[in-house]
Amino acid sequence: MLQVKGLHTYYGSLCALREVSLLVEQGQIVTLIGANGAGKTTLLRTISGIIQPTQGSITFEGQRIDGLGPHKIVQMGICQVPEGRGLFPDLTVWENLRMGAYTLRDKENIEEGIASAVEMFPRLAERIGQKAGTMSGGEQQMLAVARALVLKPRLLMLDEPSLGLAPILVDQVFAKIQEINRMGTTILLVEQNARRALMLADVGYVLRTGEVILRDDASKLMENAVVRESYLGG
Amino acid sequence: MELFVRQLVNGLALGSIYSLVAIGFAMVYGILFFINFPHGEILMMGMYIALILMGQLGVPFVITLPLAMLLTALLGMSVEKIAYSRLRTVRRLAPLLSAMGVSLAFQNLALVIWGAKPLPYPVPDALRGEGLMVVGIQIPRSLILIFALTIVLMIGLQVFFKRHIVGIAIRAVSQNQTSAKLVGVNPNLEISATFAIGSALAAAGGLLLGVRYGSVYPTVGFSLMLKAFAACVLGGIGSIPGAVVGGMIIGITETFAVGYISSAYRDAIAFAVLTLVLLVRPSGLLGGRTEAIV
Amino acid sequence: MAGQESKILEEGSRNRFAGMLRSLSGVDERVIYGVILVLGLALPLAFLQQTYYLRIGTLVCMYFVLALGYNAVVTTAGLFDLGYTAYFAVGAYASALLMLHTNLSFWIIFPLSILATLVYVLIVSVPILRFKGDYLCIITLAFAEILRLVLNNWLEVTRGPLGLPGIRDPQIFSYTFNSLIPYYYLAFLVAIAALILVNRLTYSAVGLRWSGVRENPDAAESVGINTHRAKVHVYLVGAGLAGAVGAVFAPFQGIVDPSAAHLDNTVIILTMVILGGGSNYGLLASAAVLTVVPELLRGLTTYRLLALGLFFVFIMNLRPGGFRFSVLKHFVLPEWEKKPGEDKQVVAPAVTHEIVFGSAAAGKPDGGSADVPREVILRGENVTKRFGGLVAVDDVTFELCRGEILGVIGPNGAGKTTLFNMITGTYPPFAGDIFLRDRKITGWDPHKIARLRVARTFQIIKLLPNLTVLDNTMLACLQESAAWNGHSSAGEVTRRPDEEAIELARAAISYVGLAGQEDTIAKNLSFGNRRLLELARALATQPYLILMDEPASGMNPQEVRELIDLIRGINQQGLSILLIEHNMTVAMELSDRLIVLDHGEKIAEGTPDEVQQNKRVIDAYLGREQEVASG
Repeated sequence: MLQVKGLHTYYGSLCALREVSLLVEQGQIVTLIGANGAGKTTLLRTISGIIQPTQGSITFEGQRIDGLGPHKIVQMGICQVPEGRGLFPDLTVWENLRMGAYTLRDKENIEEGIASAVEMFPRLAERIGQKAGTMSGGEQQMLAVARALVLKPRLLMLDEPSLGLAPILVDQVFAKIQEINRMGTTILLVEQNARRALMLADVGYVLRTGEVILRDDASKLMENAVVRESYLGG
Repeated sequence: MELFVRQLVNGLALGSIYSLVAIGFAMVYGILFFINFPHGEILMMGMYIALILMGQLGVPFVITLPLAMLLTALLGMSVEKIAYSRLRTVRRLAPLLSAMGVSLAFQNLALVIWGAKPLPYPVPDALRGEGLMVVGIQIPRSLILIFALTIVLMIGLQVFFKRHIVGIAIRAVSQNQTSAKLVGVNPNLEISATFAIGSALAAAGGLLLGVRYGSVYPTVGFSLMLKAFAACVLGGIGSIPGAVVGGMIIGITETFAVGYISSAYRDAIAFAVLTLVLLVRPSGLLGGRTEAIV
Repeated sequence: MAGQESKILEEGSRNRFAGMLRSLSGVDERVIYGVILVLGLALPLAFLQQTYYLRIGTLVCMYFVLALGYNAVVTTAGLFDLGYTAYFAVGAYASALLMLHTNLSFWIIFPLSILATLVYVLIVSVPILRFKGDYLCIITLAFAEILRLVLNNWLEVTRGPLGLPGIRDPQIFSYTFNSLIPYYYLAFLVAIAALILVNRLTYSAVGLRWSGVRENPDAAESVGINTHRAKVHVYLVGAGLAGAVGAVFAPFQGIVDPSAAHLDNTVIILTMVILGGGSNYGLLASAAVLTVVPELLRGLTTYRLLALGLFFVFIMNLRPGGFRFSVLKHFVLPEWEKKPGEDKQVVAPAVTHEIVFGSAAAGKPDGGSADVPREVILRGENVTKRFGGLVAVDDVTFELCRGEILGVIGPNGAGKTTLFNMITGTYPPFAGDIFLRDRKITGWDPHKIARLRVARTFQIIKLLPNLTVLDNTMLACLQESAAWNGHSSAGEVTRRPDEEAIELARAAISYVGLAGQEDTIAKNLSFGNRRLLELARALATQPYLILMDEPASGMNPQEVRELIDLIRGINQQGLSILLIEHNMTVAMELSDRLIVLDHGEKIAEGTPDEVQQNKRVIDAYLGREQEVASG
């Protein structure tokens, strides 16, 4: 469904991604793990069109999408839940969701999209008028995912959803991700919490200083010593 | 007592005008973290446009108001496109200089075309004279207009920000530009809209000013811009409610100072307030965004 | 086309600092100055009868000085002050009032007027120096406007819009300035003096500090420069010059009025600075052009300003990066910019200075040197930091011993950088204390901590992008030479930095492996080399403790290896190191001991081996094993 080939991305003179290749098949949960600074967020941003790659290609359902602007990518069915949630803190829950539907013109679609997103996270219905910045970490994460679901994306990308959350909440978030996947959405999950991510995923990629160093079935990667090494060195 | 109430009413009217001007200023700062110098000059051009419409073309006031607002909105959008849009990612000094250039150009353009002498504003008969009786004093019709228009515009603005997608998007972009891009927003549209609305509001304020005080001159925009800035800082830079509160306070303070002390330093009042706020509480009364200031 | 132009600009700014040390000894420069001097002195003789041209000449001199002063503030120090004309007005009015109401000689009034301007600066401008870019811009504008309003309305003193006429002429002994010629020479003299003053300051430690303020105040602070004080200094110079011009202008014109504080004046001077592109010749040329041309087009003031406004918009959008754009530089002056030493080969001169770090007693505190006592040089006790409701660092206690490399590791968001910033003084802890060798440094300003020979590098590299490698490193060596700290005499202030300081900088550059690159402009360096430059700058302060924030970030494996060797090297020379790292290879290989943070708390401490086996650490990084049954 999504194929990344030989991607190079630069931050100024710094090479953030080098020869990165990735394949996500429909219906899968693919996870990308790696230590901080490995380039995971850069990769997601490149796919979303926020950063332009200098080399390589990104193909989605047969179409080249590298070089397209972020609004186009969103319209093609790829939505991202950014690192740190990326909410609009002074906007209410409803307004945040409404922003998720920004690219929709039809009023019915908008309402339907928001409704189905809220259905996924019933807790949000209670807080629909509350300002996003005043909610707890767990609720914010839910809102961030819900916002990305409003457009009913075919590929949902999440950037470190477990960041800053207590273990119980991490479980809830991951359970939700599984649920979303079972309902038909393909998932690309970037995580620092390798264990949880690998338990959930079908396929895993390990990223280190901008390069993919490993790719395998998630279950096999969990046993892999290289994974541990790339995190803890030694 | 009567004098006090009269001054208060006058102050509120002046404050309303200042608020309208300050809102536009605050909007641009909120979304771009940029001080739009020519805000006052754009307003001034709007005033002259209205003058031409009403004075030379005989367009009735009721039509001139929205028309002037529209034309000024277009002017504001053009300024943004021509002078700022290319400089968004460049070092701070370049957009500021460009802004100054626009300011300078407009001021002197007005001087060339209309001259330095204040031109009288044609006040429609309907707006002359006294209107209602409130608390024992007569309130002039022009003031009623000011209050009414300000309330209408502010309500309209509120509705726009809360209900209309562009309004929500403007708020979103000013809170987190990256996330906005991730949901498909093209910031250019929102930025243009911000300039358009801000300029339109300022034009309304300027028109009211002209009707109330009877004249327009090329440098009227300069001191208005500085007062708008003072209002924004007072209320908390970047915050729209703050701009309104700030504008009101400055309007009232200025009127009272002029009434009870002297009229020589009328313009300096706003600056005195500005100085005080900066020294004591730079984040303003309602707390703005200090991260871009210090 | 644009590329070539920026190249010319770069060449002109190359090694402004160290290069200009040799400048006045170069034949080229001497000749130029000599010619200007002679022409200037001879001017009146050519125009004896035509007072009009003499008047223009005098005005050119005055505007030149104003441009010099404004240039120092805006171009050199990067402070966009839009109220510059206020200083001119203060000087002019002070001079006028004293001339009118007292019988003092002008030669006493002149310095008094300058003093008045300086006092004005200290009272009005200094408090607003803490505001950044846009804000500073409009606030200075507002203040100048306030001054104009006061001048316009304070009728008892200033007589308002009518101004103060009838200002008498200066007198030397019994000779009164009754024609334009003496005024011209006076203005000319002031111009020469201003040029010498500004030149000497700009190409000295003082000027380099100003450049530091402009390019990267954080970097400057981290090597011990008090940026606030540097800003005050540039203001005193810039405003002082304006005040001096005002003081001369008052008797020259015979009348002063509130238009002296009008924004239009600032705009004109600003245009001169933009056109002049930051070089003295440019400033002189543009001052001349902008004074002469309008004089000839007397009646067209409004059109002039209109054109100026459009020009600003046009020029900024045409070459947005080129604030130092100079039309004149491009057409007239390239050959004059050549410095005497430019044709020498690029060979790294022999390093004569050995770089010695902090404490002379080298060696690590291990079993091998048992007689070296374990001395704690950095200590944090119960350090806590809150941001609103979020606790970023929670009650962390740690110790760093002399000669040790202490690594700080932890997953993303653990609070490492927050802890680091509290140690370096970027912000104070909410609770707890930090000690440097028994001295409590909690809440100290960064430059004060840096002066105690504690160096730091930044996670996001902070360099002075438009200066050379050598200039960047020199920033750290300024304390070795003349320091304008209030204790030095005037002679010391303008002395050029020691050759020794330059050698120290060279040694640091060579140590990190950048020898031969001294003349490269920092922004043209590769990423890895930029990190090395930052390290060189840090080392040039000759610290005994260095704090490094993710030095390996963004480096490829080869560069990482070289970095590890380099850090090991400086540690073996006696430098103690506090190291934050995400790159585990680096952290584990280099650290003697480690502390591990997670969610702001210290969860483990020990040698690399101990930490790698620690279950809590493993959990923190890789994620918890157990699934907690959800409620």
